[in-house]
Amino acid sequence: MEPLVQVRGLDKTYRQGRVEVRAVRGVSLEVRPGEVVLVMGPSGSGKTTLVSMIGCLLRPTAGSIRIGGQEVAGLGEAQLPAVRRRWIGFVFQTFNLFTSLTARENVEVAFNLRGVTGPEAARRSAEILAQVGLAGRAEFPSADLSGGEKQRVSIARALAGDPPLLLADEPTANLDAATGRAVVSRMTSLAREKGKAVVLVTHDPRVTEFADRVLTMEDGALVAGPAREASA
Amino acid sequence: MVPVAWRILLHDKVRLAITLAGITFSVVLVLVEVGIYLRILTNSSLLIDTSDADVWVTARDCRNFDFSLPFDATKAEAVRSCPQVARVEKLIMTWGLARLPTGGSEQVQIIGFDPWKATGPLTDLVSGDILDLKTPRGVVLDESSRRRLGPFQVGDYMEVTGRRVKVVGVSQGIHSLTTSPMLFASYATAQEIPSPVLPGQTVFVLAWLKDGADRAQALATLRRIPDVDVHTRGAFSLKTRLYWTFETGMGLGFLMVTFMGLAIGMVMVGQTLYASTMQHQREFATLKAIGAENRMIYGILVRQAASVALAGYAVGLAATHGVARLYGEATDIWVILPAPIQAAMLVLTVLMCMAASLISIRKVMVLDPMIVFKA
Repeated sequence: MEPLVQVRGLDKTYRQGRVEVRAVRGVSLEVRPGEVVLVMGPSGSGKTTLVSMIGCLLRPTAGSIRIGGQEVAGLGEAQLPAVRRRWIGFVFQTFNLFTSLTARENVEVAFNLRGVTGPEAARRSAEILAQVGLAGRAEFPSADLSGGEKQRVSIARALAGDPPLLLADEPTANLDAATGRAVVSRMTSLAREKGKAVVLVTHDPRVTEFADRVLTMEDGALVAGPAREASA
Repeated sequence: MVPVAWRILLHDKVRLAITLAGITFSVVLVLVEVGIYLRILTNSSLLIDTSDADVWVTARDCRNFDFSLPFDATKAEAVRSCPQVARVEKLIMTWGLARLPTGGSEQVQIIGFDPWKATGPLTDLVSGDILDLKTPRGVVLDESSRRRLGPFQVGDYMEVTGRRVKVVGVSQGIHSLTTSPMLFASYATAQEIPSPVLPGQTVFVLAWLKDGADRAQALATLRRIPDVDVHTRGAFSLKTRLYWTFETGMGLGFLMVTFMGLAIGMVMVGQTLYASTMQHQREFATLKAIGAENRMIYGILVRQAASVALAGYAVGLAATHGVARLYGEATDIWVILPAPIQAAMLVLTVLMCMAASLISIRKVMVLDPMIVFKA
């Protein structure tokens, strides 16, 4: 199967005053459809920078990123939103929900961005919320939801529009252990069910069981190849 | 589409209330200022505008209706001799002091003319008859004068600059620029009241042209009369209004207050919209991250600005009517709010809010979507 994501020789260098910081250095990796890849590593190891570049939110200093066969590293600012809408769903550590909207409306916004509006967007949003187990919470203000529920809304939003790639940054960091496991379990099972690739950045060793591959980053580089091959 | 713009606005009701209060304040301040200015201008040329004379003849270099020097009344005959002129009337405008029942005095503006028919602002008297001005020392006062002169009615007597006059009629809605009561009298009565207008002098000569007369030719002929200025009614009205606007600083004062009103509104709206944008910047960054184009986010801010502009304007307009009413009752200066001014204010309010949103738009333009990853 062709890889959905192909990263080659990815570098990111920041300038902090006179000092140059190489946040990511020479990273290469591939992620196939339906595959769940965990990126682990200590704070400041470059995990989030890597996922930001794959998510087309940050431009690499050097290297290549191909998503769905399309080179995206050199695309202009104006072209990137369309790439993100077409290919990528994001799940964030702090959920980043619209506090003034209900759970359903948060998901609906993602449909709206993809040109699906009105009752159709509402119906499909409710469907996805049901898939993440929030059918009864759809009309709740997102501010009133628990942390686990908020993250499930975030996952539902990421799934809206059926993007082939999910990028999750520390999705369990603000959740208790049981809730974190439940959220990742649901996200990865839904992703596998729908044939989506998942790149999951985390500190949390308890979620490694849900991954097909675990990669470790240190000082901006992937170390020792795949840390753990898929057990299933 | 999920109405993100409005939901964000409505989410923080206190901030929204502050924003609307700012716009309302701005709208009220500007509309009331402009309305008072228009009222004062209207009052300044009221008698000119409501007269049906085609031509006003004044002393040389007369700058406005209220400060006009008297001139030789025989000029009226020179005006009458112009072939295009159908009718000529003399009009005295001078000042006197009315003695109050309390023993004090109040300045009054005396308008003396020959009341051959009900005309201009004196068409509809509240009581009495305009033609009674022909009776010796009969005068008409406006009902608004009671605020200054105390209670009076038809048949009452009062003393004006040492002359006893009799109230023969009461008008309504006639206010002078200076807010001094206006006292209408016959030409003869006005001449009897001691004033700078000497016997044999007049202050204005009003002329009516014949039907079909060549207006330009008539004016050219009249302008050959020495030592007087000849104005059309419109030109004299404009001259009077421009005098009060530019020569007295009144116009500049109103302009400054209007500008300040808009500036205050803009600062308040800008500040609250910016604070809201800062509070929701993570949400805007999230929108960018999940694929929103910049223009969609600008659209949210513009819709927010337009929404608060329209809502603030509506509240402001309603409040303006209330304030105008209270102001009129307190001062007898009734604010004028013509529809074009209200429409212009609506446009100004929307522009003001749009301008105020620019700082938020700029903030969003440079917003780093990477903040979505920050804890």
